[in-house]
Amino acid sequence: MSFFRFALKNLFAHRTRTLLTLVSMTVAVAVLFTLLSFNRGYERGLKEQLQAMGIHMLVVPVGCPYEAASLIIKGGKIPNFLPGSALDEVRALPEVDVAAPSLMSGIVRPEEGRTDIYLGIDSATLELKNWWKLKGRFFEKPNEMILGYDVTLIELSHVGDQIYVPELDMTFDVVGELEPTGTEDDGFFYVPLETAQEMFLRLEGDSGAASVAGIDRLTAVSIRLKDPDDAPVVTPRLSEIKGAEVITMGELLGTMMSLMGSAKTLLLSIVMIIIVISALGVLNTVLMSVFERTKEIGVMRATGASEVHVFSLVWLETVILSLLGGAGGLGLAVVGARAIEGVVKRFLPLAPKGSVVALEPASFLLVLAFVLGIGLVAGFYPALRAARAKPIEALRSE
Amino acid sequence: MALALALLAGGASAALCVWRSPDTDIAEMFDAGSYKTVFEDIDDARQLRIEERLGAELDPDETQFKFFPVFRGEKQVGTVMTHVGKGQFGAIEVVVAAVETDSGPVVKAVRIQRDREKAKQALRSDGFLGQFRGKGVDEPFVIGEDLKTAADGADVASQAVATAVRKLLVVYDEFYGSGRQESVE
Repeated sequence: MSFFRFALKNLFAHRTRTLLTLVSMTVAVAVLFTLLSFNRGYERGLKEQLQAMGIHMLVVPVGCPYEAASLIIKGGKIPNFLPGSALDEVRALPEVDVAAPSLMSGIVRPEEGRTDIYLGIDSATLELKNWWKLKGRFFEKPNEMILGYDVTLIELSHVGDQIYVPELDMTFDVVGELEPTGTEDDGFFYVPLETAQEMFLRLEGDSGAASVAGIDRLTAVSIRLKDPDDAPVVTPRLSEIKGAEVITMGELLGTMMSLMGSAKTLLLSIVMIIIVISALGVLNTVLMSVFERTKEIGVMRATGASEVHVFSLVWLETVILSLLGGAGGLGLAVVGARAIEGVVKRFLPLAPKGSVVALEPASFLLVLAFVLGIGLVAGFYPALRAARAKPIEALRSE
Repeated sequence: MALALALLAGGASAALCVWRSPDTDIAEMFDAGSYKTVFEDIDDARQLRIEERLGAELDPDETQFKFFPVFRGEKQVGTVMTHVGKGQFGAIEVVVAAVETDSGPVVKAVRIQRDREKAKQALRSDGFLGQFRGKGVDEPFVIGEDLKTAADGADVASQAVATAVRKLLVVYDEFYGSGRQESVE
C-alpha cells in the first residue's frame, strides 16, 4: 500500500473529525481568497476608473483636497471655490495639454429624495473626455443643456425638449445627450460654464450686483498633461496659484485606498484568527489520530519502518487535509464571489463601477501555498511525535 | 390641436414608477390604513386590447403594471396606481386612486408626485386635478375639449396628466374591472 493511500485510509477512519476540520479549512481559505481578490479588484477598478477619466491632475480649492476630488468624481456640492483666474494660470503652463474648468452644484429635490447635480463646463471637457459619445451638439448659447444618460431616463427628455429648473425659474433647451458612459457622468445635467456661474450665484441668494470675481468661480480645473511624467514638475507650479491645491490621480488613488485601509486591517485580523483556529483544528485532528494509532505505529516501527517513514506518513495526512480544504475554499470563493461582491458594493463607499472582485491565478496560487504552509506547520509536531515513539513503548500502550 | 396634444402626451411614457409617499396619499385619498403591492404581467392579447382602447401603443417597457389595493381594516376600499409620463419640461409622475362602481372604475383622486413644470401650482391645484374626480374609463380625457387646461401655456403638461389618468383607468379595467377578459395564451 502506498503512503498516499495509507494516509487517506487513516483520514477516512475518522470521517466526522476529518470533515469538520475540512469545513473549517474551507471557510478560512474562502474568506482569505475572497478578501485578497476583493483587494486587488477594488484597487484595479478604482485605477481604471481614474484612468478612464483621462485626467492626470486636478486643481481644487484649498480645503480638504481629497474630499473635494472625490466629490468632483462622484458628484456633490463643493463648499469652496477657485477664482476664475486660476484657469488662465493653468492654461499658461506649457506642459498642460487640456485644462477643463467646471463648476458643480446640486439642487435638492426633497419630493423625489434626490439631488440634481448641475455641472458647468466648457468645450475643453469634450477634449478631455474624448470617449464621450454625444447625440446632438455642444452648447452654442447660454441657456442650453446636455443631459447625462441616466437623466434622459429619469426626465424622459431628449434633444429638442426643454428642461425647466423651477428653483431658478430658468428654462433650458436640450441640445445634447450623452450615450451611456458607465460613470457618474451619466447622472449630471450639463450647462455652459458661464450659465452655471450665474445660476448658482443666484441660488445662493447673492445680490445681482455681486462682483465679477464673485461670479467668476470654479469648483475645479481638470488637467491632462502633454506628458504624464511631467506631473512632478507641474505640481509645485500649480500649487502657487492662490487658493488652490493640486491633486494628482496617483495621490487620489492612494487616498481612496487608504480609506479602505482600516476596514481591510480589521477583516484581515479576523481572517488570521480563523486561519489559526483552522490550523489548530488540523493539529488536533492529526494529533488525536497519532494518539489513537500509537500501537499501530509501534507495529510499523517494529516491522522495519524508519522514523522518516512514520514522519512522512503523518505529515502527508496534514498535507492532504490542507490541500483538500484549500481546494474546497477556493471553489467556494469562486462560486460565491459574485454574491459577496453584490453585498460589499452596496455598503462600500467610493465603489468603482464594474467588478470589484478580481479572481486572479496569482491570488489562487498564493492562497494555496499559504494554506499548504499552514498545514505543514500544524502537522509538524504530531508527525515528529509519532516518528519518535519508541516501538516497545508503543506496543505496550493501550 | 387637442388631439395632437393627446397623441403627444401619450407618445412617451412609462407605467412603472415608484409611489413616493404612500402613507400620506392613502390618508388623504381614502382615510385608510394599509395597502398591498400587486404586479401584473401583460400578455399580447391584453396589450392589444389596451392599445386599442387608448388609441396609442404602450411603451416597450410596459410589460408589467403595478397596482396598490388599499384597505380599511380587511375591506378593500380602492386601488392606487402610479405613472410617469413626459410633460413639457421633464417627467411628470401621477398617482391615481380608483374605485370600482357598477359602471366600471372611476377616479377618486389624482395627485402629482413629481414634475418640473412652470405651471407647477396650477397643475397640482384642485381646480385642475378635481376635474378628474368621478370620471369613468369610457369618458373622454382631452384637454381643451372635455377638461380645462391647468393654466395658459400648460396644455402639454395638462394633457400628459389626463392621458396618464385615462391610461391607468383602462389598464385597471382590463385587469380587474368590467372590461376584463380572460387572456388567451
